[in-house]
Amino acid sequence: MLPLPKSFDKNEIFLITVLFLLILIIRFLPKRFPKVITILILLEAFTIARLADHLLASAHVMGIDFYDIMDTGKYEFFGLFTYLIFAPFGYLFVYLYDWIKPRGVYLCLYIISWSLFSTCFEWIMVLFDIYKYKNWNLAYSSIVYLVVQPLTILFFEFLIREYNKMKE
Amino acid sequence: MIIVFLLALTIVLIITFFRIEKSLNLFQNIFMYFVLSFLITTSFDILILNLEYIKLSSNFYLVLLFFLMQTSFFPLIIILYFNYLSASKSRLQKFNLIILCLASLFLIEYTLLSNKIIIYKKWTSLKSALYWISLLLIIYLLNKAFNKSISDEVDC
Repeated sequence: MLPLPKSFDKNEIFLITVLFLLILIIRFLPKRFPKVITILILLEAFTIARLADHLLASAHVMGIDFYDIMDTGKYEFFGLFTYLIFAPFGYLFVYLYDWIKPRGVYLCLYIISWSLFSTCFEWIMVLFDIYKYKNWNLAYSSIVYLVVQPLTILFFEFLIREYNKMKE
Repeated sequence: MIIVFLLALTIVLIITFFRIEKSLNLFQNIFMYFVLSFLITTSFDILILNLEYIKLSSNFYLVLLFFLMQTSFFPLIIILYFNYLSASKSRLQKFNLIILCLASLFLIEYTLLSNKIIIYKKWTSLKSALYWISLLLIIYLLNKAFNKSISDEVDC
């Protein structure tokens, strides 16, 4: 059902290493949010990544197949790992946001910096053959990040507000 | 015509979903939405791309509509089902609800099929029934696990 890689090479090793490091970072960060918020933030980042790839990378039939993930154009087992990577990144994004609490122009700077960082990280993923662009480039990705990241902040603020309301 | 019909149906469902009072708490509903969107898109990708059991229409708008169905209609119907299920008291009510939920899912799948938005190749209606029942079971178990893990923080 979910094909294994043709050869276990640099893209798989990169994914496993990065995922392992991210899990370690999150594991040792001081707890900042309630468990329910943490689970939903991780899930949100994971699902948004999945839905974006589902729309942009797996629609071969309608001619908007913008990129392939991993070795084949199919939905591979290690393709799941690419979404798993987005979950801790989403968590770190929200964690730092809650820690720094940027407001006004600093919030814009925060989002732009994270979008730049995400785009650079995606460039590294392209170098490691995780993404194989067809009709896509990094500029499009940076726009996607610029849209998704403010939405993630709104989602987080919404969750915190509802959580506090529920606790009262 | 079919695009307008299904779009209207989805909009009505979305409005209904946000208007009605839900018996599960907000966090459970959000959790179920994310998990369902992931599971439904993943399973359809496996069936369409990897196994080639189902073929997708080559019409751009119909494929977008199918994407909308996978990310809004199917998950919302299932979330509504679980909300009503937790509020229902008798076994008969629960039985009626599962029949209603499965019938809605089938009806939409049949509409997609009869309008050639999806085409069965090595897939059958029986497999579809098993697919939806398994999905409901998986969501039920995951929701239970989620409830258990957050019960000390939130009233479920």
